[in-house]
Amino acid sequence: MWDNPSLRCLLAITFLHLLSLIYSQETGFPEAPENLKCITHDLNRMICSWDATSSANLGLTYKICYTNSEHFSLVCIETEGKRADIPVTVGSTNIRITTLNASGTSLATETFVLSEENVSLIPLTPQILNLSADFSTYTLYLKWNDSGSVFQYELDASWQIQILRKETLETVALMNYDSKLTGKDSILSWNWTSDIPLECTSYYVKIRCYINEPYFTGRKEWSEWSPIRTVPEKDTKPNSAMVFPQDKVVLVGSNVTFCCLYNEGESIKFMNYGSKSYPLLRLNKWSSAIKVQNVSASISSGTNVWCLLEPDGLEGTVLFVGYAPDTPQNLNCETRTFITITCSWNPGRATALYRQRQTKYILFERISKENVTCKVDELNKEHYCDFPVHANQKIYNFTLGASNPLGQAESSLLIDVNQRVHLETPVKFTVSTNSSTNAHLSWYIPGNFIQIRLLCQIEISNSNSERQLNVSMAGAENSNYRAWVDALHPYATYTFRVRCSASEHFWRWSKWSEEKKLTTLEAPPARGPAIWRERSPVGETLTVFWKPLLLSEANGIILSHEVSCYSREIMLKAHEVPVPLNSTEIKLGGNDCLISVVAKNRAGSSPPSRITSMDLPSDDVKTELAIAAGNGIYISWHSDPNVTCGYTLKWCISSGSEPCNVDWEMFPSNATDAVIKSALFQPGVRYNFSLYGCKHNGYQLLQNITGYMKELPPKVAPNFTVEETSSDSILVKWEDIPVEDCQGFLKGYILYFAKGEKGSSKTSFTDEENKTEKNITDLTKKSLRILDLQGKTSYRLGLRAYTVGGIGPSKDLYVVTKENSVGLIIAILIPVAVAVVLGVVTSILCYQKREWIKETFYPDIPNPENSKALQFQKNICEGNTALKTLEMNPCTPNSVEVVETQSTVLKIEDTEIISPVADSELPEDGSDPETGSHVVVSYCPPIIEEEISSPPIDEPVGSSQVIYIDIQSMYQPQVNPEEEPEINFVTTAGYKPQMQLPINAMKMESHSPTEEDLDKTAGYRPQANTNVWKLDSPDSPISIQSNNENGSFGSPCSINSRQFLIPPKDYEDSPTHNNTGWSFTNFFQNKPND
Amino acid sequence: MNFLSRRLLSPGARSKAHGSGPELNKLFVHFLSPVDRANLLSSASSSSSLSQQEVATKIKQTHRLTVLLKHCSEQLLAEYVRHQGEPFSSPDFQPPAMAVPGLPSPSIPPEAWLALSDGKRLWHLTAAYATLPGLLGSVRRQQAELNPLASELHRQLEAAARQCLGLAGNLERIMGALGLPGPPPPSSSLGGPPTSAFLAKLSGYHVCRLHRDWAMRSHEALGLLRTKYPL
Repeated sequence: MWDNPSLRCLLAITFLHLLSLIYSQETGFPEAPENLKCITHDLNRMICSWDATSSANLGLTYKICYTNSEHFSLVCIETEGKRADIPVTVGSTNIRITTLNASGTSLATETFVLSEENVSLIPLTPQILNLSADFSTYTLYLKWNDSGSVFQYELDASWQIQILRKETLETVALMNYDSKLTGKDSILSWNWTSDIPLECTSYYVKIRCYINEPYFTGRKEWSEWSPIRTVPEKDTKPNSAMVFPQDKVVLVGSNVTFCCLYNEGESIKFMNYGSKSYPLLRLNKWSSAIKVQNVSASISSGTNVWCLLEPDGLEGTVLFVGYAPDTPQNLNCETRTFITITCSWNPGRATALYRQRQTKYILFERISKENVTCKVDELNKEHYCDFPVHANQKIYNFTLGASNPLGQAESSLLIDVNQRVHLETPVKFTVSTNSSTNAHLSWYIPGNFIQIRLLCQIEISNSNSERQLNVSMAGAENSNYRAWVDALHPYATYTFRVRCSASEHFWRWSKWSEEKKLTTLEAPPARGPAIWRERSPVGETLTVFWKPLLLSEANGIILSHEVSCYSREIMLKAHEVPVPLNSTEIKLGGNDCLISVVAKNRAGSSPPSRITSMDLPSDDVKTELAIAAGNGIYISWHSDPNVTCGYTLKWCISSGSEPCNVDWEMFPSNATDAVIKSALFQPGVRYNFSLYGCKHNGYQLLQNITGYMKELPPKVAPNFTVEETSSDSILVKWEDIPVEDCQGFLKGYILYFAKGEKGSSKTSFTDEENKTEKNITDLTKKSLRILDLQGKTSYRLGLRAYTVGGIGPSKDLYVVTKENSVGLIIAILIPVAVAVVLGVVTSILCYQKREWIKETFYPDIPNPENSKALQFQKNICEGNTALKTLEMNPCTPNSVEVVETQSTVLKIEDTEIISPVADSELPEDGSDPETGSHVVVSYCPPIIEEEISSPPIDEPVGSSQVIYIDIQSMYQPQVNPEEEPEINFVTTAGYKPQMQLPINAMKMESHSPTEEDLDKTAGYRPQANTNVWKLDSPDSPISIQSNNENGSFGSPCSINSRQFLIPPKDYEDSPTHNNTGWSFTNFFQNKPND
Repeated sequence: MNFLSRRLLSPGARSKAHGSGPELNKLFVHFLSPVDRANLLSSASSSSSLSQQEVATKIKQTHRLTVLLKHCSEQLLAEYVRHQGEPFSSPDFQPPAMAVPGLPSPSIPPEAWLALSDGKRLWHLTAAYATLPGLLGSVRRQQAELNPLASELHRQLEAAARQCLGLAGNLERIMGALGLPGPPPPSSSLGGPPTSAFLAKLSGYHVCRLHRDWAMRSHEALGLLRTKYPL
């Protein structure tokens, strides 16, 4: 834009022109006016001033000429000073100022062109009219005149107010205030609240103004500040020290500043709020302050703020910190008397302020525009206030206002007084009667209820009933109210009380009146007593029973019962039975009659109860069982069409030794069952009932019934015994449980049995695991045989009876079954018999084969071929023929390994077995080759080994351990002393076959003396003395193999004499004698060969 | 112990007074009953009717009364400060002495006090106890405003006022019996209502403390007098 040359040129011209407007051309005279300045206060006139040198020319005057904007005429004025008051002109004005000397000669003239822009608008300096202070609220109130009349039209004005304090005049606040000038003078006011009490230090205020004239194009400036005004001193400001604010009430959580003023010569030590010390803020020379933030509720006497002064002073104040009042809660207004309306409310949260600072309540009624100041006890939780009831006003619009120094709250309630009637408690309540069923009641209620009806509730109660009767009645003023109650029961005590409310618009019941008691008068009994009769067995006398009437039926105190006997409407006899008797006897004298019973009290007699004395014969009366119903006994019967006037069920409950109390119950003719209940029934007790049918001409016994109210388990265990026991069974017998111990109908017995001995730890069968139980449901059965038992075993038996009510206790017995003798006998007899039979068979066989046996085992002349000696001889060089006989499985390896000429041995052995000669003649074995193996087993070298205890002697063949050692030890010269007797015994005998020679290796345990004698006397004996042989076994390979010189007389190796080769007798016998078992076996095994 | 005296004793005082025996109880009746007080005042004019023995008995009774008063005044001061908050409730609170209008201060040092004549001592005591009931009543009213819930404090203040009234009656009677001139009638109140709650608390504190101090002085004075008028 500035690049445009023409525009720049225009601006330059304008600037120059403006300069020319203000500054006239310099004339060169020192008196020439210059620097013309104009200001206006009211936009109407302006004050112009200028500069001019006038030092040397005293008495100079100035002539100012300007063009009047209205008349466009030139106006000139003269002035001595260098200022002039001229009207403000719109647009620009030419002002010519001429300096004149004392003689009136023009010294210099200057012309100014004054435009509006060069005029300043400076409002008049405002003046504070009034400055006041409210010390309690720390507020300053400022008033001033806005001088609006200066301007002829409305203008916006701004005001600036400055608050200063302390001697140092430090600015506390600089506030702006806008107003409108209306063309008239107005008083403006403004206030300001300090954060610290005004008493604490001095406050100063000043004010200035600014006029905002939008159409004025000149400069607008703030006015001058008004003169300072100070806060007026409080009248009560003491000379002594003080703490401010005094007794102030603030909200909980407020921030409060306290100051302590003190006198000259004093200084402040510290300042406390309550128990806490706060840092001091110095306000001025004689004042210090503390700032307390967020104050909490104070105690009722307030929180003390105190400063301790030096040298000796204590000043303080109290701050009450609390809450603004809460909105009154549960506001409720009602009238009790129609004289006043009582409003009640709950004040809500406590304010922590008391007495003069406590909440004040005002009850305001909007319709009548009346209000009532409420006097409340702040210590009570519920507050009350009474408002008068106005005649002809039903609707009340209440506003309850609550206020305290910290605030206010209110609650409103609109009520129709007729609908808010809460009557006072009825008083002077009385009850009276003059009949057996009616009562009169009277009570008093204070208040004026003429305009409404009352509803009163009368509560009538006695020991077993309670009813309420509502009575509506017209309201009255402070009156007694009456009511009448009927349908009361005669001779009954009732308790009455009453309460009332408004009938039409129920609001609340009054409190109940006090209670009153009343007993109605007596009346004749309402009905005759329930009666029953029983004929004596003979039929001469009749006992009449009756039940006492219930209290509700007796209508008074029953004094007696009158029993009379009628026959065809003619009273035969009558007598009166006083209470408490409830039965009497009547002598019938053979005639039946109609019995009538009447109960009597003071008021009269009851209607009669009648019953006939006639009993109808009955036959075949059955006894049935009733069902226990738990709380009673359920009885049913078959309907009898002949029964026309009902059934009677009679029973008798006996208690101890006294005669039983007859009781009965009657049922209509169509009834067929009933549950009989009685407080006297006890569980587990059997009761007998008799059912009578009432027929037109008398009563007939129809059936007997027995039953329980509740069946229980039997009280005792059945008494049972063991009748007999055998080795595998027990017969148990038991007896019936007495009826009184059954406590129910017996359903059966349970018999338990299990193995067990007396004194075992198990206490009952229930925890017995292996028990067996038998359920006996046949009650006629009184015994039971338990089978399949073990002999000679202890059994535990238990027997329990049971009913529907449960299982009764158990009785336990211990029984031991008998021993099973047959089995034992059989066990003994069979082996014996077998042994005998075997013996006999053996004997027979032996007898039959005696020749062969003899030939075989004990020939008269031994067959040399059968002799082992031959074998010895044959094998002598081979040296191990005996291995054949000794052959047995465990031994075979020995025989195979021992000899160096093993291959030969095996061969020979095989040959011997195959050879028929060797087969048939093997006297050493005593058996055929087949049995040889068995024999060999018995001849097992270990046996020999056991017998030989002698240490081994040097031997040519060291590897053949057992056998060679034996032989050599036998040939030792020293004989084992223990063996000597046997040897001697043999020596003394006569001829003995060689077999009988004692052999150390075999023990002849069953060698009887007779046999020995026989041996001595009979048979061939070898010539040589055999005791020197010391041979265990003739065919012992050791002896055969023996190469020493002694071999000729003990050894079968001799080839010169065959006689010596006969094997000794014991060689043959030894197997037999050594082991009986072996003998038997051997015997049987040999037998087939025969 | 009759009902009236029971009401006047605080629990602590009751337990301590129990040991004082029936004699003390009899004494309560003397100074508590307004009727008695009226009798005492009326009989003061005819003091010469009292025998020496009766004077000694009266002195003894009054001395026993001061024992109780001393105890109760200490309790009252403790109860009073308990309800005023800090700094009053602080155990080491010792504000500068403050003159209570109308109430003579027991400012005479103890030695000088004992050195005074019996008549002078009794005069001071009578003057003080003529003023104290009114002052205690004023404190009671102030506390009803400041501490409406402190019923025990109110009760003790009322009791203290009655006790002082009773003691004043006894003192008057003794002075009358001894032929001593009584002090002029007092202006027995704190004047106008205190300008601030703090001042009310402070002046109430001073009244209670002066009450305690005077109770001690009276106890000493009556003790001395008792030795001079033995039974």
